[in-house]
Amino acid sequence: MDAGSVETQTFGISAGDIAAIDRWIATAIGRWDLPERVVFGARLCVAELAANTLEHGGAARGHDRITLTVRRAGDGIAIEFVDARAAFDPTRVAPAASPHAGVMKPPGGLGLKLVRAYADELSYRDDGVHNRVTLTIRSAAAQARRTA
Amino acid sequence: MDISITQFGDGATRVVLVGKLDILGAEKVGLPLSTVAGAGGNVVVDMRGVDFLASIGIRQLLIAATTIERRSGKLVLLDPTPLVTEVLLTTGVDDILPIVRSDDEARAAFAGAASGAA
Repeated sequence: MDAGSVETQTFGISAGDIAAIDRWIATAIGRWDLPERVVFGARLCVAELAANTLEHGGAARGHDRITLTVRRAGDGIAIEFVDARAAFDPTRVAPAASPHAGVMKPPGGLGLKLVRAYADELSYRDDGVHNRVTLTIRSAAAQARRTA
Repeated sequence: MDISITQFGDGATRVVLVGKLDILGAEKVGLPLSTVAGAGGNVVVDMRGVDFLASIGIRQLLIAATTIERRSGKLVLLDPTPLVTEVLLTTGVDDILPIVRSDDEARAAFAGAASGAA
């Protein structure tokens, strides 16, 4: 793997920081000439994980930062998202039901529903201080090769 | 995220969104969108210029759509990009936030809603 195919950055946890995370990830992986949907999916998953940390993350257990590592994986991308908020496993939360007409309160869980839909692989580990979410997003062509 | 609001035909409103409907975008459009929704009538949200949509943006649109529906109106989304359309379909919100591809389709959706409510 060449050194240019991995990028790591640490951010604060605020709405402005989430916007900065999106700018960073778009720039970092934008250099890798990946399919547009892979880049979009990576930005979307990270935005949802970061928003979930901000809105529902609870008290910090350690240094209250988000650390992102993005790595090129063929024509896809692997992402590690690390934060020190309360332990939360996004792989074990029941998916949100789709909202229906006449339902006045928008449902929660739409963000995690998107993460699960766009990530081809999603895993979680709690190291005692940090939530470590890893996910992979592949191109449609790579998905087809794996299922062939 | 930029937002502009104009009239759309007879009694309806067009809301044009341009940019990222992410956490900051949702903050920016929340108040004007709820004001439009609270005024009543049908609303077409022009999504052609929205290049990124996160769930927090969808929530703002859902809040507006349910407010409008309570007032016997309808909100439709005009011609989102394929990537944004995929986000909307993935979350399953197209029942409350129907997608139209042209102004004529929007008018037809409003006319259908009015006749259905009659």
